Amino acid sequence: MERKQIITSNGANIKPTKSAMSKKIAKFLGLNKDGILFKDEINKLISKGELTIVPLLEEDQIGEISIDLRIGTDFLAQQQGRDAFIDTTNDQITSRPIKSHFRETRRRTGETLLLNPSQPILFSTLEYIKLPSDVYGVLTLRSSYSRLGLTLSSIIQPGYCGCASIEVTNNGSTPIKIMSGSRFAQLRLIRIKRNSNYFNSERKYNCQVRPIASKANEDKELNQLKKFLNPNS
Amino acid sequence: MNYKTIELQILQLEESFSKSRSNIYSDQNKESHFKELHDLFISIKKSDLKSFLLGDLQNHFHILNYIFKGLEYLDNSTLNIIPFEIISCLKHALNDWVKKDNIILVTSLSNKVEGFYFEVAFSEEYFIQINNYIGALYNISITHRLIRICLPKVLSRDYLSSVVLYHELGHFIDSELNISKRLLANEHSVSLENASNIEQKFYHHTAEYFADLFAAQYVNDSLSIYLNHISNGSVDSLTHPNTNKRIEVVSDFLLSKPNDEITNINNALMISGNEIFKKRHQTIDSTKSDFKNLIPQSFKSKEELHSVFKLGWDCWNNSDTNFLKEFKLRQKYQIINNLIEKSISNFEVVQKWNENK
Repeated sequence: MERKQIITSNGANIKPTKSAMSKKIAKFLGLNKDGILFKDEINKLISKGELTIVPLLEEDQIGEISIDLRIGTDFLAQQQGRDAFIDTTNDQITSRPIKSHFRETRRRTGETLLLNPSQPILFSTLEYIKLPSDVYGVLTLRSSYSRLGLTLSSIIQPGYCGCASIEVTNNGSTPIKIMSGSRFAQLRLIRIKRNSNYFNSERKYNCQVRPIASKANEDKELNQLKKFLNPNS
Repeated sequence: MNYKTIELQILQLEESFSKSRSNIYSDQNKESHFKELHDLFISIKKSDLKSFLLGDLQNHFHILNYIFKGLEYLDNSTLNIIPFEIISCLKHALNDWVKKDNIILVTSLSNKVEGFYFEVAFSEEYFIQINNYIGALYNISITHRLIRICLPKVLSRDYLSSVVLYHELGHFIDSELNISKRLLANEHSVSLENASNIEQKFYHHTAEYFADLFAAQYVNDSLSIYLNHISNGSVDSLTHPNTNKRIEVVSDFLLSKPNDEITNINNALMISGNEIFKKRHQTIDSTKSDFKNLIPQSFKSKEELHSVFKLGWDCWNNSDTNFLKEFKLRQKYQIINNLIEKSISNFEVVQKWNENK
């Protein structure tokens, strides 16, 4: 079998070696050390205490290449408040916090919540997760929910600990009823080649267990940017 | 007092009901209690107030007040407001002592930061009297009795200070089992109603020791630690013993050292056919806990569940040297509270899941 030539960014032609080829195949199949984690690897990490997902109500939540995550009990629903817009540029004590644009509501496990069209809803997964420092997570909807016109796409940093935050919007024109405790999202775990310490940088969200409204207005760089226009501020 | 007093109360209650009617409660019993209060209210509203004699007017004044108080606590016990996790722990403790199924634990949120208290009015005797009266007059009965505990709104998710709620629950158990009143009668041969200042002081101090010891059964010395933080070197008062004495009694209990207060209370418990105070928690070593890995603690039993508050305090007290040392102060506080909350909610959801399999 003839090996395909690879053209590098500087235009040089190289023929891949046999070992490079098998690494590519292994990566494609997820058999390499980095790349997506399979069920047996996920279970191994859990049993070694390197990966935490609690509570795991049913073992079959762990599928071949993903873990089903459930809807938690606390929700933040965006609502039109006194202000005409959400101000992400101001964190002064006199300005209204971003969370004032959200209504906090709770459901018992088994109770339902309506996802109204175009209304962003924030909630946490029922499961508390702690990822190893060399594994990140990709969070997507289970296909049953994507088919209803819901969208979700989120990444969980290596070493993250807390309930996963879900921000979902109903893009359809019909309200959708969901149930607290039901399987809603899928988490795929991908191993990276280097370790990454989640707490190396100061985090806004620490071991969170309830949904937390955006803290975009707490970004420190905002003050620096404001000085562009008013150096004395 | 005349019928206009009652009319005014009815109108005020009408306003209260119009606000409470859309409440969603954290359990079915609260919903049915609300409905029963409303049925009673409607019956009173329909009655001919002008024909009431003074005695009936006074009784209705008390009943309407009872409904008012009930609504106040129900309003603060909706699913969105009630501190769900701590209440679930208190229910486990309550079940150890009171086997009646007609009791509902409700909370009210106070704007005062020191607003922890158990509302003593409306004893079981009062509840029976009201039921007898409304049963005869309106053919209505109220099924559930409320345990009414108030806590500061701002601290409703502060699990370190919520150990005080175990103490407040202790006051309810004391009034239910009549222990402090019994000890007052034994020691001074007098009832609370006729007690002198010194005798009242004896009663109140005994009640505080009872509640402290009740809490210590579940949360170890967590309440003492918190008292130490907030008491600012308090001295004896009519209602409370000084903090040092309270801490000493709890310490003696936990170390199984002889102490007159403990002996007296345990004797009274035993004579009245109850279990004596004993450790009802299984301590978790914070250095070996799940918390040190920044994950919720898993519990094998309710005894371990109650220990989560002690675990939280141990982590907080050592947070300058333990796994939290690199975090900012605000982060440490958030992490401990979040981990306690999730540990409790995980325990509850797993239990319910397994029960309903």
